[in-house]
Amino acid sequence: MITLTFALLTASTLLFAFRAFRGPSVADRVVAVDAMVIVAIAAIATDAVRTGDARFADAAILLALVAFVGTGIVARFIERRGG
Amino acid sequence: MGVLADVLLVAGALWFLLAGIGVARLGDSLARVHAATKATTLGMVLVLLGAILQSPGADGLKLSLAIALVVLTNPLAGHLLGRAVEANPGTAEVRIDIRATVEADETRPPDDRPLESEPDEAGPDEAGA
Amino acid sequence: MIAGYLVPTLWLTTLWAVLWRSTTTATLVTGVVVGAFLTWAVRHTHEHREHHRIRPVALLRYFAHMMVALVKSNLILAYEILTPTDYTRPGVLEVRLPKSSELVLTVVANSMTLTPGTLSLELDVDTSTLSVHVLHLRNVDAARAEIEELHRLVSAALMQVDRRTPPEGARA
Repeated sequence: MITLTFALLTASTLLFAFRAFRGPSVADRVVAVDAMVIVAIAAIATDAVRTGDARFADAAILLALVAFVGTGIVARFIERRGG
Repeated sequence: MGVLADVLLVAGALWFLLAGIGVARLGDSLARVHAATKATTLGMVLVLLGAILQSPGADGLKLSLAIALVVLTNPLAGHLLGRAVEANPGTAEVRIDIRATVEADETRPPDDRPLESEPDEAGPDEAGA
Repeated sequence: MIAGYLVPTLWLTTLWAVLWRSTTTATLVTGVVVGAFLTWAVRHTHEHREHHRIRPVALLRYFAHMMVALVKSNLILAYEILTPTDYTRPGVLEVRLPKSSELVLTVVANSMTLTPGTLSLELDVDTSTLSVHVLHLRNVDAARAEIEELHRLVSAALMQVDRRTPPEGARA
């Protein structure tokens, strides 16, 4: 079951990566990258279930903050200079 | 208890896969923002429930903090991106069929503007009107 | 003044204890110090805030509505993504809401992102106007009704207490 979860998360990451390469504008790319970071947080949670030890939960918190702030900054950039 | 948690985890991962399909397939940039924001938020909630059921105590608390952060900030990030794309499309594929102004306030005088239906040009036209 | 510091400091100390995974005296003391300092550091954000009273029953109803909306919006989205035909009819709707406080409008704007097919774009607090991007805009009235409903739920949950001084942006 855990393996299945990881497989699905990996598949979704590949799809996001496709959009990150393809998406014609900066906004498309940053949407995909932000979603990939969210997938990373979910993967950390799944790994915590697998090992029974939430050792990377700190990293998950930081990732959540960084993803949000980074996306916000790029959004401001797009609004001002165009993407 | 373990089975429910596993089911929740897989359901959450499936929803992330749906988000991936949406972002890769949809043809409208703003629609992709919709898909990424909503689907990842629900996927996160499902994964959170699954993880908390399996790791109670302080570990679960920490995880729920991380995921609560995501649930709170993800919609906001989606809003910021949607706003930026709409203001300055650039090379994004954006298509807007209707623009309308409606009143939701009974105390204000009604606005007599009719419903305007103007197809906007999508694609790389001018960088931001 | 101390009351204004109490809740934020308590909350920050709790977060501190969770992050450090310990509830020893040293952790709690440092947590209180850090929490109090942070609350002091951002005190200017509390100066012009309007006061709202939270009604618990209405708040619960709002949360229930939000959870249902989250699931519903995702189901609609799933249908849209998985079927090959394009059902989208994108539109931008500018809704003029009844005059509300900044907090209520912010909560409504944030919640719009999770309701089916909508994404909030612009928020003008002075005129209480909210612009949303709707993915399946078939019926303008239906979308407007949804937004109205959301605004009603939020206004019921967060009642504005201080009505003596009009807000800064009030221009009739």
